[in-house]
Amino acid sequence: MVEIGSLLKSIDASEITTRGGGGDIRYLVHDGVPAFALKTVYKQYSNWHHTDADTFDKIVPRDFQLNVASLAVLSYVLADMPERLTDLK
Amino acid sequence: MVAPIEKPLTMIGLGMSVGTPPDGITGEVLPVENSNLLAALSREKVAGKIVLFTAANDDKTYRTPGYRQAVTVGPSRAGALGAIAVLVRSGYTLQRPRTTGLDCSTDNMVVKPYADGVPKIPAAAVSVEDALMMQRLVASGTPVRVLLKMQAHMEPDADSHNVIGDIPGRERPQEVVVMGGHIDSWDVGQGAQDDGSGIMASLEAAVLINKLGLHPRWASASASPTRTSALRGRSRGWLKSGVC
Repeated sequence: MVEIGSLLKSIDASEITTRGGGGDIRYLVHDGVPAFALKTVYKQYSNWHHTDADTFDKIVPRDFQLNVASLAVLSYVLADMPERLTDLK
Repeated sequence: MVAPIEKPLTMIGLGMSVGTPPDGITGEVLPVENSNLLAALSREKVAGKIVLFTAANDDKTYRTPGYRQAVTVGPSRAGALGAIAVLVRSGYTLQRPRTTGLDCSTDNMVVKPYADGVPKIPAAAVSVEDALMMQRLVASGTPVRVLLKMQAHMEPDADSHNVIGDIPGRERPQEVVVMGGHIDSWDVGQGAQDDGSGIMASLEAAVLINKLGLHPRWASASASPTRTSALRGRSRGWLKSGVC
């Protein structure tokens, strides 16, 4: 995973940590599927989360593009690995 | 607020809370820091009151113990002591209360808004400013009364639809790398962060892989379930067919 992370050094998204999760992947994780989440800067998320202030004008296009790039690289590499991810801790 | 003065309070119901009767319910506000302190109070002190959980919140995570208690076991504990409703102080806010799903379950796989065997009472979030105002009034010896009206109710499960895009794998098309987010913003706002931009980013990532003409060994799917439980069904379906 660290090697995959290194592919994203140029956009400063190379750090791989073992923590994370969330409602979307909870059941998959519970069922034993290796799972990943994109960790963002998370600067103001909690200020707006679940309030009337969570509106589209706050999306920063450049940040969004970087998220897309990170997801594309990670998912493509995972989908192109010769073997399944197993015994992931 | 109906006493000591009449003043509208900004509020929003907590997810899966029960509602009030159409005319609302009125009661005296009992500010308590957290539900542990509430549990230490006698039934006589709590019965018939509207409990206001006043614990300050962490603006970044909403995970301060007092707030977590308020939106997990808080309403069940208050209901067990005879309270008629619960108000919870939000986090970072200028009259913009923040909701969250009510869940007292300790099992990560089960959501349970109320504990078994206790009266289900309405639970709502209020702004920091309104929570502090009520707290200050009561601390100064002025009783505060609130009229709470909530139309919240649960309807039976209904069909919903997932949005799924597939890039077939060149070697193992039956094995899937899934990415996505949830398309089910149930609360207020537009759900732009939670999780509109997330699902669009995962769809865009799939489009990008496609545009670049990449054909991975395994299939990639961008799945954006409309309900977490729907994902559960789908994930179980994927597992059953051995594709994950």
